Amino acid sequence: MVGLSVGEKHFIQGGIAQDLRSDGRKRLTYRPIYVETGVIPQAHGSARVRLGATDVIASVKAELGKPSALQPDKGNIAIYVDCSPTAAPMFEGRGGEELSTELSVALQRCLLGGKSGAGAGIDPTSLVVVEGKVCWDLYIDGLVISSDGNLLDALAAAIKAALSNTGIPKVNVAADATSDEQPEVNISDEEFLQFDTSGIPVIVTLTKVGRHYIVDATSEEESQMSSAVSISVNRKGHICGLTKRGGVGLDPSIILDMISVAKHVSEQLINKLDSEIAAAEASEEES
Amino acid sequence: MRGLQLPLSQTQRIRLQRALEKLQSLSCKANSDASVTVADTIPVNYEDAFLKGHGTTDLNGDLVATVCGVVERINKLVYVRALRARYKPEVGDIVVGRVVEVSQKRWRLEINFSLDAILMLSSMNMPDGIQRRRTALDELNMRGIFEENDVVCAEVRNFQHDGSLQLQARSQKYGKLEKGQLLIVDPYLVKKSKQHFHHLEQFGIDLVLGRNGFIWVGEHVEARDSMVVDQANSSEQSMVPEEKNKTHTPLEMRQNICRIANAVRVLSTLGFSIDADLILETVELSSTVKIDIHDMLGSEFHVLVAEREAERRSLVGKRKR
Repeated sequence: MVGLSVGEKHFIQGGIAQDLRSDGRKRLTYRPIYVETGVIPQAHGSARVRLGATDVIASVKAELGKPSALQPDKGNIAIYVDCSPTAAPMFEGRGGEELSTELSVALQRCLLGGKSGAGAGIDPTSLVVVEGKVCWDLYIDGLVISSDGNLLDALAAAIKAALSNTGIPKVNVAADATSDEQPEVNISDEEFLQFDTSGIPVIVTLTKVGRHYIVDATSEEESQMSSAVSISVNRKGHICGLTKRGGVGLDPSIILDMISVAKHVSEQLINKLDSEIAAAEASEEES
Repeated sequence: MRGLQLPLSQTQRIRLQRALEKLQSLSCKANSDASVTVADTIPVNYEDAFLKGHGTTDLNGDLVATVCGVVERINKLVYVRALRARYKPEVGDIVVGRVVEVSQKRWRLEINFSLDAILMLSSMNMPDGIQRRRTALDELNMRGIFEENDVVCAEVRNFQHDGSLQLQARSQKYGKLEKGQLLIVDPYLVKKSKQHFHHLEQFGIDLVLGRNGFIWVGEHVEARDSMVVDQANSSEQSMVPEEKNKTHTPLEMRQNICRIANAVRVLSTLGFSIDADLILETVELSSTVKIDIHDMLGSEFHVLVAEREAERRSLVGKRKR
């Protein structure tokens, strides 16, 4: 991240105060989102999302495994994010690890719900094959290729697109399984089950600069932030997760205001994202 | 097409392709044989003695290019000049750089070159305007002139014997750039011209086209007359930053700055050479089409600019004939 001179910082802060950012956007406008699906053929589902200069890829792989003893009717889902050293100079070597863990944890909180699996955006009960014995393990991996701010929103959008693109193979269970043995399973190569992604939330990150909040900050604007709150909202308008970054404390009334702004912005974002994902899948089928 | 990352609809894609094909057909045909991509064989007469220069290699007895670019031949030297390389400085170029380090009697600037450029304290006009030897006190007050991360405009003075670059900022028009934004484009898009400083009167905006690809768009600042800096004024100046916090750039000027900056971004995405006339035409086009400042970065405007440029060049070509 190159530094900014005092004059440039002042210009950015002035722009945000006057509702006209450096690239002409208003405070609550997103950059154009560009979605491509099916970029990794070996994975069961994948997507690439570009938000301005921010570029991320998400991939979904499914493997058969055993459900945990505490929740025999639910599959396992793991989310992990990696920041590639090519994304920004500060990610060289092991510099990106801290950010990767922070992003992974935030996404897990928003998409996977609590320890008991309640309130998850992705329904884990749809992943079970034979209750108590066999279930699907989903591994969702995110890779940050280029970083220009607002990584969390881009990753959440990429995961949503990748899950819409995911096809889990149909499994035929051998009928004569006794209760103690592992049942035989036949993984079909032909038939696939599509995932239901209407319940998956999107993440809206509100960055506070001065007295105003902006949505979808570039890395220059993020360097000026006092704090940032990432709110995960689903289609019904329910909050699925909340993360706050930044050292400056916030008054509770500001947080409530940010939540209502995020709900308002998320409606447009969900619709835009759904239409982009549909367009991407359509063009993938053509090619 | 340069792998544009724009969500183009089907019709937009066709229109853009047509415009780019038209531009390609209008471009100079003489040099089309000279452009090569990686692993293309370079047509050379192997009986003549020739020297293999940069960007070439010997593969199975053939001379093959290792970069994408244009083949240049100078006497017996054959080399490939890459197009999207780092900035190649020439003496007298105007560049815009960012201060990376303040060292003994010099500032080190980053200008998108393979090494950092050096701006000596003696190559910089003193704030009081008097030509004198730089004392130790001047050296200690260097940060008062330029600090780290400041954006500075200067001219290339010469090359050192170790290859590094020396800059000078002796005229009033060079110096610190504030109240605006810095845009970074590929260096090959900014061609050498008579004027690199443009004062756009109708907008009240300064546009500095640095040949290293750093372009500055900001509020117009009058050429600094000799500022008298002494103890009394320095306390006044320390109050000025707080005042500045209250006096932001006025909204209309900010809109003009953003419009011009977006015009530069559009031209850089499309790969067109950037000069002041083209920028002004693009800004006019955006106001005639009544497009929102942010929508200038959308696919429709990119397609419009490409079509406009294709038309303009074909008209110029017809006029020549």
